[in-house]
Amino acid sequence: MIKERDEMSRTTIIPFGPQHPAFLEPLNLSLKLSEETVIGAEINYGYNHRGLEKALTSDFRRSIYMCERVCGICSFFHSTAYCQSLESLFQVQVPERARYIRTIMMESQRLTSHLLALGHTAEAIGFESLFMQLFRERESIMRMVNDISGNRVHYSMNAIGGVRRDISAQQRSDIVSRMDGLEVRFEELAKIFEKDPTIRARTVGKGVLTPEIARSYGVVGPVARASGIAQDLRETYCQGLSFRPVVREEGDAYARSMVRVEEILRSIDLIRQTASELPGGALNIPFRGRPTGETFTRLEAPRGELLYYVRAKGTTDLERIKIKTPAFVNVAALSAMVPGCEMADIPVITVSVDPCICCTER
Amino acid sequence: MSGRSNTETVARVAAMMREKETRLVTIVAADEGGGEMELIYVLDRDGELITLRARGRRDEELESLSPAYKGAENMEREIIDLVGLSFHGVRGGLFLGPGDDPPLRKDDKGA
Repeated sequence: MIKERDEMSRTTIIPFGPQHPAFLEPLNLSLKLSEETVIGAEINYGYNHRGLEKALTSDFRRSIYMCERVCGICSFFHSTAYCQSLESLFQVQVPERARYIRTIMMESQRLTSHLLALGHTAEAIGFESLFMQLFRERESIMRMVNDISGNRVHYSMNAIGGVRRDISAQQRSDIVSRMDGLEVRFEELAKIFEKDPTIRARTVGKGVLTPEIARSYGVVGPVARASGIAQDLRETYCQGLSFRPVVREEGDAYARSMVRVEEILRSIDLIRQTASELPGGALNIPFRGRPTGETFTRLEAPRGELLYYVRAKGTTDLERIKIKTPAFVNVAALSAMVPGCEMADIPVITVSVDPCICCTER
Repeated sequence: MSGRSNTETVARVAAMMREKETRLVTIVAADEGGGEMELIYVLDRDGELITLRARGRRDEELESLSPAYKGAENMEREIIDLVGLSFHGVRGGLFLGPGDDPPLRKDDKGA
């Protein structure tokens, strides 16, 4: 009998992904299980590497197009970080109006990204109607950015020195009214996320990342803020706007979702402020010559800190471009979150990190 | 450009992390040509970026920051894959398969 029980509780290795209904992109977790409990995990990457850091060095003018395609979810953040890097090398001061338009587009993209992550979380829990409602709200933002830029995913709004498209008075008013409507509807969905017993049962205490472990992995964005680390780079570049970061202490899948829920409301507020106070002036400043020198640029992308390092030596080709994405550090922390959880919790915990393999592997 | 060795720089980064909360943002590795490599350790302390630079040779085994800082492991593994450096006790194969040429080496195929 004892021998039989030992036989039943031996450890098993279960591959989770790279193709799995819970993952939008290819990632493999090699899970070590004792019965239904996860006792270890190894993360395997390499299913989607595109060599973009090499490709992006080919021509600094054409690389805006390519760096916007590093990721479809935070595409505008990539092109903004790239343009800001080149603006720094050319010592170009971007017009105030262009800075505001970039902020509107970035915060709109944060809305689409966070609504995608929350919808995906609801779907992983099995809450299909909440998933549908979140995607309905996401669609309204997708249509708004399409009206402004002509594109739903890759906005192609950025240029070195500013932006390529303006926001008209009619569009400003439309943005403000859309934000007013979204705020009212989303507050109802936020209450479901906060209080629904099914969501709480599936997320509270699941995939806990303590502040110490979060720091040891160097996690960023909502994953870090849900573990009590109060870092949001928008505090440094949203000067003049009313903004404070969302921080929670629990460190579990529930806290990570609730940080995104509250950040959606902050982004709505930022978009409304920016659209209401949009200053006049030029859209972009021309630059001359070829870039020289090196620069580091950081932005708060939806998943956290995005860093671009660009080095140029006065030629059309760039010497080196390094992109540090938030998903690169956040996904790695999954191996510390899953030990001790049940196998059935893996999809929710994984989705709560908002993994992006396009960003992770580039 | 600093001529500090990677071993000295790794020790400095580890000391900085011990004395005050400091986050490793990334490690940038660049092939300088002629077998010379540059590593830039990018740190965040109180929201401010700090960079520490190190020089190394392509054929030497470099000191790893991973034992002191878990988050450095994947950064070093990526450098092994893309730039072809080696770090003590760290394996490559994060993104690329065995035998793949490091694409960011200057004088290798495709560079």
